[in-house]
Amino acid sequence: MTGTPLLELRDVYAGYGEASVLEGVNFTVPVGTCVVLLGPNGVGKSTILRTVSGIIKPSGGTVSYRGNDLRRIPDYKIARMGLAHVPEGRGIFPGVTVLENLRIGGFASGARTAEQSETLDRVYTLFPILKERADQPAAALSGGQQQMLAIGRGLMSQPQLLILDEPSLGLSPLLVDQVFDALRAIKEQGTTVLLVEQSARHALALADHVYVIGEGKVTRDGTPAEVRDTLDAEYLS
Amino acid sequence: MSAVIVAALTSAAYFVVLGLGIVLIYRQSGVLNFSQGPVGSLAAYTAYLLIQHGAPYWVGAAAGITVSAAVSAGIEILIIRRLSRHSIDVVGIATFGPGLVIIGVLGAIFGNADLPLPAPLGGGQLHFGFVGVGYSELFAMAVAIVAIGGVYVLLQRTRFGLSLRAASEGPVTAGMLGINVSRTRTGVWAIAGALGGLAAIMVSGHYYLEPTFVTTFTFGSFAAIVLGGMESILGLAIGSVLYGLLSSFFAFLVTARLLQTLNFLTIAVALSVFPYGIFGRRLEHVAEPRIKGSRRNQFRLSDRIPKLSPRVVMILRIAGIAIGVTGLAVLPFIIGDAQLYIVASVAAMFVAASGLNFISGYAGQGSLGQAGFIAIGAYIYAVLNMQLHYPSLLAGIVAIVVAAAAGVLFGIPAIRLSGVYLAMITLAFTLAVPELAAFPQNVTGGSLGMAVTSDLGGIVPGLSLLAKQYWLIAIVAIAVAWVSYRLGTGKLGRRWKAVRDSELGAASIGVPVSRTKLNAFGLSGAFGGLSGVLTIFVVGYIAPDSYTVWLSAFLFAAIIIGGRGLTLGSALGSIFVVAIPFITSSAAVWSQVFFGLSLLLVLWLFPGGLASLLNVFRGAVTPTFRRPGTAPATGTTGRGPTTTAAKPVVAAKTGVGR
Amino acid sequence: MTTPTDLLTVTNMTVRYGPFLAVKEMNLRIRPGQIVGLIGPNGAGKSTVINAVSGAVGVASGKVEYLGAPTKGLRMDQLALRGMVRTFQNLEVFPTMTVLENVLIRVEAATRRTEFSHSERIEKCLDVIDSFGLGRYADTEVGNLAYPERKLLEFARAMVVDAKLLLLDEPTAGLAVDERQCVVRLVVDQMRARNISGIVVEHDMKVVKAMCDEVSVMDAGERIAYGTFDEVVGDTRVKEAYLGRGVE
Repeated sequence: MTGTPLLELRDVYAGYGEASVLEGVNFTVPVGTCVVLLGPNGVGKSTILRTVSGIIKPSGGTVSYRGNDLRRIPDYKIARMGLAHVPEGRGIFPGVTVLENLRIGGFASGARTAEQSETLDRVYTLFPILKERADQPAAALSGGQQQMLAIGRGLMSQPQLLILDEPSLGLSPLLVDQVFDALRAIKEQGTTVLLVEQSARHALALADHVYVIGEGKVTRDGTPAEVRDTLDAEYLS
Repeated sequence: MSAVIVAALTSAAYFVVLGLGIVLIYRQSGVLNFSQGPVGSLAAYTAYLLIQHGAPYWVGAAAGITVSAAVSAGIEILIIRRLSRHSIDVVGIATFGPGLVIIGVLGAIFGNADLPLPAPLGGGQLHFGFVGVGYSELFAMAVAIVAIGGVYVLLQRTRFGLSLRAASEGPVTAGMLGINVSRTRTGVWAIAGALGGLAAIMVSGHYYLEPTFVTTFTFGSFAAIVLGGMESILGLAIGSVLYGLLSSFFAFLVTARLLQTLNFLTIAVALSVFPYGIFGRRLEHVAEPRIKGSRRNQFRLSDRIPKLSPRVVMILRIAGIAIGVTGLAVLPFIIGDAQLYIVASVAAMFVAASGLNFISGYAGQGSLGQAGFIAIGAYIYAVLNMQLHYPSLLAGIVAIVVAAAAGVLFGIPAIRLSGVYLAMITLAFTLAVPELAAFPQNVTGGSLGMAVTSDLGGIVPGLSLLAKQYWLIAIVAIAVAWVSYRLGTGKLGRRWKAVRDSELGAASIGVPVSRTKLNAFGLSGAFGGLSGVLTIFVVGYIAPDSYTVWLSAFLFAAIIIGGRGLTLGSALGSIFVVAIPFITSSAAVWSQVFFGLSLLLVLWLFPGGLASLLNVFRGAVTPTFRRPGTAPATGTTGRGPTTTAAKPVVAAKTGVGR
Repeated sequence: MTTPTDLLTVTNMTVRYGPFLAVKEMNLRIRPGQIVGLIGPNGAGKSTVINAVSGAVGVASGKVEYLGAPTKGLRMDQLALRGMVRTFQNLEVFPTMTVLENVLIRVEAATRRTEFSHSERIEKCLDVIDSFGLGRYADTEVGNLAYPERKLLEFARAMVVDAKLLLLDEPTAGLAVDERQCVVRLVVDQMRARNISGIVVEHDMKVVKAMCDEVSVMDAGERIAYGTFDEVVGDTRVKEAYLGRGVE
């Protein structure tokens, strides 16, 4: 593995309008690892992911992906560089069918429909329910199935970096287990994963490195084992 | 009978092709594109030019369609995209700008006479048994079927169509997945422009070529779009056929002179039963975070104007009002009749604009129906006075009451609608009222109109009748200004603005949202009716042609330019609307161009309108409440503190330092 | 069972979004003077409970009684006039008007015309505005205020007059950690001073502990536990569903 991390954030400041959310965020994501961002709600985890995928531009600092500074690159071009973002709340297109949602995921790789069939099969193997309901509008799926669709859609472009925003949101514990099993398989296939999570137990089991976010910055980082002990204090009074 | 069916299907074909462009843009950009008709007209005139110079029909048509597609794409790139940080209703209003400019330019170059544009396949007919169908009509139907089929295939079976659907459901998410949403949007506008051009060429060939014809025809086809619903291509086809049949049979069996009224009633009934049309449904969207640009970086002209102290402001306001009122009073002694007429027109326009300001300015419900209420007031007055010989005052009062009632009646279904559907129903209303008024020809003088004498006795001898009329209007206008100001800065005005800013927030603190909106509709109707009565006074003649969609549009543009939700805004806007034709005295068409450009300029630079610039009158905007004995606040437009400054305030209050 | 002294009683309430059951057979009771917390993972249905109680969404089955009378058929503004006010996760203030005007609208709505003079109303507004530390912004357009100030305005506006039950939907969302403490202190002080009861939907446990006498925990649309903060935190079901994911 080379020394350059796949993704690096250095001293990033960002926000919405006048509200400043990120106040100097620093972390790196080495190739082939799973990095987890933990922290309570409202602390800026989603904002970090949006800064990476280019939906919002940072007001200060740098975001580099594969050595490129992402500040000047529009969001759709970032996606075409091999970065897939699975947003908070799933972000599936409700009026569009399941299969079409997946196809849209493949747009970023530039592959024609015929070329996508192999990737599609892999996604169906991971989430069989999507194959069953391929022609239904995505709005008809339950929350858990929509989450699977969102992840599957992210995989369709065969990304180098998969970033996920709270994939366990609103899912029953059983479904959360399934989702994280899928993420483990994805990671083992070589995709680098950046994960923001509320469900610390699952995230810590998957992570290679953990960054704890608080007050718009990284407050602590380390291996899952190192971070676990202090988590109680963070989440409860 | 068969001829009626042929006419119905031909109309349906036109509705389909026109409607496709409107629906595509609505689904993509969320606005009703008022420039759809005018841009289409560009295609028709381009074709006409080329054909006049000897080009074959198809070359001319192809060139025309290319022009309209390009212009439409240009509008998206140059205007719509620039306004993306504004709210959606500002963007919708903005589409009037290029429309007005185009119509003005076309009128300036080609004049307003009807020009002959050939029909696509000439005038020949095909005979099925004893039924004759024109080649051009068949062509139109074929085109409609191909267009609908083509758009359907494009949307459902192509990659571009999928990108389009994704981008309209969730533009941020689509961008995140690698879709170039900007390019998709421009593509949609180009396609809509091409479809609009195609429709305009066919329609103008069938009827006649004239700068505003396609636009009016487009507005008249809204019933077809509304019946089908804006969200469904299939619905558009069915709605067009249904309305085509309805309108053709109505024209055949009842009368051809009430088609706009039919259009309006169809829309009203359809939206009452199906708020999204028969096949429409609320468009589903991806829940996306509200990513707004930093306000600090926005160009705000109003911040660059020096602020005056409240005392100076107070003095200037009183002085201004005093000078204004005295000036108005002595005007007849100073200026001649021609100029007095202009001032009287401005005053009458001001009354109408004030009324519109309640519903569209304060309450934020975009209404293009004010001309309809003006017409109601004017015609009721004219009929009562001239035909039933009511005394002027009584006729005037009844006219105003009827207009107010019409406002409330209209408001009941309208308050449930928003955005696109509200704009459509108010436009249809504006088209329907004059048509309905002209229908009983013996009573109202029909399309030619009739004279209305005003019976003001000789109060001050030696002065023209116009002067006395002028004083009456001036007094009424001053009273209206005072009432508007009181209402706008009082409890009702605050409620209106609350409803405009956040219906949910307003309801959560006890504001009855529906009733508040109805108040605005009723008052706007009343003031519109009053304006109608006043105008008749001055003009002495009533004709349906005076109450057009353009009047509604101009009034709406006037309050945007002048300033929404501001009494002064109505005044400035009215001056603008009346003065422009006289400044650009060569032709009324240049006034349209100027108007369209000013609208765009104002929306871009100062969306709050001109009145928001005049800091002198800032006090009239947000009244300063002062606690007795304390110093007044430093100003109402102070830029708030940044987040970092906020902390000390919060921390200091509770003594917690961090 | 509704006791006569209850301010709000929710009995077996079910709320549907299409085919999806957002809230299932929810029970909740607020007595005068209580501030009850509503916690649980995202998607548990907490905001839906607030929306259903305040009249923003319809109730599929079950009963909601406020001040002893059923709320069925009452609109949000009607409930607001009966003393049930709420704040929003996404802030629904009026940005084109000043802080004072925002609050004045509530005062005008909640008091009869003859009850107070205009200047008395202004006094009331300025009082609550001062209590929340916004005194110097009284004449500033809300659109020009920073986020924490707008939040405080929403609270001030809701509490100024005639508030009996305050529904707070994620009151500290979007606030920095040190801002949260101050805001919570201000809100709790005002609620106690004005005798306003409340339901608070929150994620920040420190805030919940500081504000609430009683806490209800929701998961997947149902209430799985309720009691004092300490009781609830120690409950095994709660640990598994919510806190359990953050603790080994």
